[in-house]
Amino acid sequence: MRLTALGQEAAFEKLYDAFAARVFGLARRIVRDPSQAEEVAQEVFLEIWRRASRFDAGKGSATSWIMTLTHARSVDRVRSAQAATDRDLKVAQASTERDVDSVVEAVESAFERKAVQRCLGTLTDLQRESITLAYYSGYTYREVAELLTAPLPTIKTRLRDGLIRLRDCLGVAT
Amino acid sequence: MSTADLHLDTGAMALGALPDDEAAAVQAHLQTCESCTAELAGFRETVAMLAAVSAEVPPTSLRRTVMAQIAVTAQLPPLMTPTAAPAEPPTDAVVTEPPTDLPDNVVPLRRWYRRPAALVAAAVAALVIGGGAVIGINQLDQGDQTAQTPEQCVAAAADRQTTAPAAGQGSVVYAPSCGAVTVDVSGLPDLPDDQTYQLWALAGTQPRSLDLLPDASAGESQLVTKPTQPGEDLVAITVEPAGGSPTPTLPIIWQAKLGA
Repeated sequence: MRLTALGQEAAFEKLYDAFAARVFGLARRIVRDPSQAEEVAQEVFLEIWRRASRFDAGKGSATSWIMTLTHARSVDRVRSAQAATDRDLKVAQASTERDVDSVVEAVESAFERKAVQRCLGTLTDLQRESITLAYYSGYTYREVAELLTAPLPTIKTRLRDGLIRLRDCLGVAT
Repeated sequence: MSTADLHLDTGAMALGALPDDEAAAVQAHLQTCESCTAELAGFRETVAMLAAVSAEVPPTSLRRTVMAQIAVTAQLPPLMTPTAAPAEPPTDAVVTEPPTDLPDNVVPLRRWYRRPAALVAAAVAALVIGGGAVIGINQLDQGDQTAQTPEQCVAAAADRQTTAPAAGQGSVVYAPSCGAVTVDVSGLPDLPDDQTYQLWALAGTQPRSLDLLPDASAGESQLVTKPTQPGEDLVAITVEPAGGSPTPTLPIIWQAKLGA
C-alpha cells in the first residue's frame, strides 16, 4: 500500500515536470507577481491531485483541463479583494528564492511556441488584441469591450472568429 | 438571450472571459447543442496551446511545496459507475493496458474505477502519456562492432548518447558518427484506425518526417532507426490522420532531444 502511494506520487511528479512551466508561466502572466503566481500554481497542482480521478477524457485533453483550471484560478486571484493586500505582504518575500527548477521541462519545443506565435500573427490586430486581453490579462469580454470601446457583440464575434482562425492555423483536431 | 448569441459565446467561454452568469447560461445551452460543445472543445485545445508562449520555469520552492502538500492531501474518490466490474489483476495498468479510443492519450474514467489502488498512478501517468521507467538501450544488439546496418552502427557507436523523452516512456539513442538515431517508442496508447503516430526530426522549427509508427499506433512498442540530418536536434511524435501528414499536426505529444 505504501509502495502504491509512492508510485502515485512519482507519477504525479512526472506530471508536474511536464506542466509546471506552462502552469506557472500562465499564472505569472496573469497575476504578474511571482509569489502570487507560485501560490496559484500550488492551488492548481493540488486541485489536479485531488480531482485526478474525476478528470473526464471524453470532454477534452488533460492539457486543456489543466490550462483551463490554471486560467480560472489565476483570474480568481486577480479578482479577489484579498489580492491587493496579499501582494503588499508578499513583495518583500518575492526575491527570497528565485532559483529556477532545472528538472522542469524548460519550455515547449521551439516548434510549438513558434507555431503559436506565427498563428497569432495571422489574426487581425483587433482579434489578436481582444484574445490577448481576455486570455493573458484575464479580462472578461465586457472589460475588453470597455477597453477597446467596442460594442459587446463585436467583441464576442472577434474572440470567436479569432479562435476559429487560430484553431485552423494550428491544425487542432476538432 | 437568444440562441444565436449563445452560439457566439463559445469563444469568450473558452478564453474564460464570460462573467459567471453568462457562463452558466452557455453551460445550460451546451446540454442541447452538440455543435457548440464540439466547437468549445476545439477552442479549449487551441487556447491551451496559447500557454506555450508564456511558459516559464518556476522556482524549485514550488515543487517542494506541491509535493509536500499532496503528501498530506486526500484525493476525491472517482464518480462511480453503478455497474459492477470483475476484479482485474493489480498489475501495472498504465503500461499494459493503454486506452483504445481516445484522441488525447488519456485513460477514460470507466477504466480506472475498478482499480482504486492503482487509480491515481494510472490517471496521472496517463495524463503525461505513460509514466514508467525509461527503457534503456539494452534491447539493441550491441555485440557486433563491425556492424553495417544503421541499427547496428547506432548500437555500437562510441559516441552514442541516450536521452529520455520530456515526459512518458521510451528513449532515443543518437549516434552522430552514424548519422542515425534509434527511437524506442513505448507506452503510447493505441489509436483509432483512422489515425497514426508520425515521427519527426526537428531542426529548430523545421520539421522533417521520419516515418509513420504503425506498431505504436496499435498500442505496441516500436523500435525504429532513421538517418538524421545536420542541425536536427529533436525528435517528436504527433497524432496524424491515417497515412500521415506533410507537416506535424500540433500538439506534439512526445519529444526527446537528440544527444545530451
